[in-house]
This record gives sequence, C-alpha cells and structure tokens, in this order.
Amino acid sequence: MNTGDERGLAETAPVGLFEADGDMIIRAANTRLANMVGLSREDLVGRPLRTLLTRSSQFVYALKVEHALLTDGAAEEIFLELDHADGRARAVLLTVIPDDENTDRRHGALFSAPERRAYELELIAARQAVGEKIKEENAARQALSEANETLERLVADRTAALEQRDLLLREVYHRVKNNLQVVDGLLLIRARQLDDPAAKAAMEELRKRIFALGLVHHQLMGSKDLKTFDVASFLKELLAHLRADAPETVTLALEVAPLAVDLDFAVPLGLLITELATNALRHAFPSGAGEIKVSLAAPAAGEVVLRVADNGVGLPPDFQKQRRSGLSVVDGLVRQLGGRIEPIQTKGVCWEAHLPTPRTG
Amino acid sequence: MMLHPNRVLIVDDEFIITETLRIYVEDMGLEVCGTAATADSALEMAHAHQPYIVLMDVRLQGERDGIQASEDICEQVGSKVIFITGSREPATLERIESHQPAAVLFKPVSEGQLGSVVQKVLKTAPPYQA
Repeated sequence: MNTGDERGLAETAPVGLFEADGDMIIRAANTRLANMVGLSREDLVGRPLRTLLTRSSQFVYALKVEHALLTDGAAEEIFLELDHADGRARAVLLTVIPDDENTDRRHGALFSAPERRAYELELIAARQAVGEKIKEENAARQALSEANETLERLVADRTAALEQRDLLLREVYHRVKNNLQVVDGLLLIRARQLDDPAAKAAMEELRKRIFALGLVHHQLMGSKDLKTFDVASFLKELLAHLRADAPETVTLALEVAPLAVDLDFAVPLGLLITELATNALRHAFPSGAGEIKVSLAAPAAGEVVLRVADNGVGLPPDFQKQRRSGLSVVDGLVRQLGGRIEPIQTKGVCWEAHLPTPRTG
Repeated sequence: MMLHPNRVLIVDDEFIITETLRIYVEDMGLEVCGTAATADSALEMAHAHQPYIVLMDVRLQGERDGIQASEDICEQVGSKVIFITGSREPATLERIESHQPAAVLFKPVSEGQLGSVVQKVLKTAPPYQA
C-alpha cells in the first residue's frame, strides 16, 4: 500500500481522522482534525481524545463513548463538541472502530456536524413541548376527573339533603295530620258531653273544617314534590266527607278541572267550599231535598272560577244587609285567596268566586 | 275458637284517637273489647278477647309496629285487621298491602268512612254461635 496515497486521502478527506491507542490517546491525526480544535497535528499526538472536548461533551464522552468502547470496542455517530482554541465549540459526530490486527489500536473519524446541534436542540425542544403538552393534557384530565368527582359528590350530597328534606316534610305533614285528628277527637268527645243541640251542631261544623285541613295535608303527603297536588282528588274526598253527614235526599255533585294547587291555595279553598256547602245544607232545603253542585273551572288564563250552587229556597231578603254587617269567614277566605265572590241570581243560591290561579312554581 | 263478630280491638298509641274510634265503634252498636298502644299488648288482648275486627295504627309505642302486630294477630288469632294510618309512605303502604289487610283507611278518618268499611268486613264474618 502506498503511504503517499494514504497520506493524500487522509489529508484531503472532509473529516477529522485520528489513530489512538487502547486508552484513546491520540497517536496520529490529520490536518483537518488539527484545524477543528485550532492546534497543530503534532500537539495532538499524546493527548487523550477526551481533552479535546468541551466540558459538557466530556461527560457525554464518558457516558456514551467510553461505555461503547468497553462493550463493543467501537462507537458510532456520537454527537460531541470540540473545544476550539478560538473559544467557539465545533459540533462533530465521532465514530471509532478497532484496528483489524492490533487490539491496542483504534481508528477514529470526526465529522463536522454544525447543523446537528440545532437539529438536536429542536428535537429536545420538540420533545419538551410534547412533554409539556402531555403534562398539560394529563393535568387537564386530572382536573376534569377531579371536577367530575366534586360534581358527583355535590349531586350525592344534594340528593341526600333532598331526601332528608322530603323525609322531614312527610314527617311534619304526618304530625300535623295526626294532631288535627286529635283535635277532631277532642271536639267529638266534648260534643258528646253537650246537651244543647245548637252547641252540638256547632262542634260538628268545626269538625268539618278540621277535616278539610287534615285532608290538605293528606294530599300533600301523597304528592310527588310534597308541595303541589291535583285539586280534583282533594275536592272529591272533601265532598265525600260533606256528603256523609247530609240527608240522603240531598245530592252533592262535583265538577272539577285538573289544577295543581299548593297548601296556601288548598287550605282556604277547602274551608271556603266547606263553609258554602254547609250553609247550603243548613238553609237551602227546608223541605229536606235538593241538590248542591260544586264546580271549579279555569275558563280563562290566570283565573279559577269556583261555584257552589244549590236549587233551594234562595237567600233571605235581608241577606245583603246581614252580610255587610260584618266580615264573614267566606269573605275573609276569598280575600286571602286574592279573589272576589258574588251571589248569582239563580233558582236557588249560586255563589261564584273568581280567584287568581295559584302560582305553584 | 270462634271470633266475636261484635267485638272490636283498637290499637293506637294516641289516647284521644283511640277514644274517637271507640265512639265511632260504639255508635255502630259494636263493643270495644280493649285498646292497646303497643304491638305486644295488642296481641295479648286479641288472644284474650278474640275480636273479629282490629283497628290498627302503623306507628305504635314500643319496638314493633302495627304491621308486625297485624301479622301475629292474623296468624295466631285470625282477626280481620283494618289499618288506620297517617302515613302515605309508599314503602309503608307496600308493607301493609303485602299482609293483605281487610282494609286500609287514612287519617283523618270520618265516622262514615269507618262505618262503611266495618260493615263490609263484618259481612265476611261467619254466623256467630256463642
């Protein structure tokens, strides 16, 4: 092999070349390598390759190159920076292979790789960006799952609170109803001890009012939202109760449109109907027979019309005077409901009350 | 042993209510053989007096409620139980229904309501032989 040719190739190749011993101490180097570090070729001989590197590359060298040489006897394309005498580091790729014959000899090449650094930095930045993004996504996912948990807990708490509220409300309605039954019982027991028929009758009438109150709470207990109920089922039971005490020759009819009502509407309404129907039972039928008709309709938006009509003897001539003399229970209840009431001229007596539709929102 | 069709046992832990029911029952021409406020005394009285009809509240004093008392009385004595309850709790009503009561009435109960239910239950009674 011609030494001159080898020299020529080694000197003209666009890479830094060197020969080193087993400890990677440089034995020979070409001019390009010398230029890469800003030293002369002679200065390079005897120096460990590692000392040509920047401080940070010396770490990389120890980690990657020395490790590769130890395990494989060779290293390939390791990115490093040469410490140049002018202070500006040169980016290179190092490849080392063992000598075919001499185990204590290695051949190395340093490829200039100025773009490689920028590329690596970009890669690192990209990797970091991806990492950040993943971190952000994880954080977002975590936040979402935490928010979900919080929400679920809130819903569970709220549901439990509502169930508790329902339980308490039912209990309250139950107790109110029970207490009304006790009051009713007290009136009954007391009425039994009375001899005066008028006093007895007054007690019985009171019991009807109390029954109406109890009925409202009974409806509330069966209501889904514990707040509103259909007025129809309420009035049906109320009328059934009034009918029970009426003579068999008097019929009580009910005509009612479906309407959701609450306690504030149902209590005065129930008392009002009880009052009017009782009055009719008491005064309308001296002969003992007739019909009382209770109807509740919603002919126009925002208004409920209650009629309690009988086909009896009609109002006494001095009724208006009597009525004005004092606020009756009927007038008071209608006022409480925010409505007005008038007798309508019919064959008997027909009371017609116009009441604002209850707001049950 | 034959049950007495004219005897009624009243079970409720509220005195005024048992007294109200007593008046209703006596007005019907029936005899109140006793009133009980607990499930245990209700069972005891049912054994002692053999009433054909028991008026039973659900909530009672003591550990056991009216539904449990009813179960025992139906099984051991055979009386017809009419529940008179203030509750409309679906769970409670389901429990009552599962014991096939003779009837269920809700408080406030009127004399008329109770009267017609009692008459209906009495129609199921076999002719009494003393």
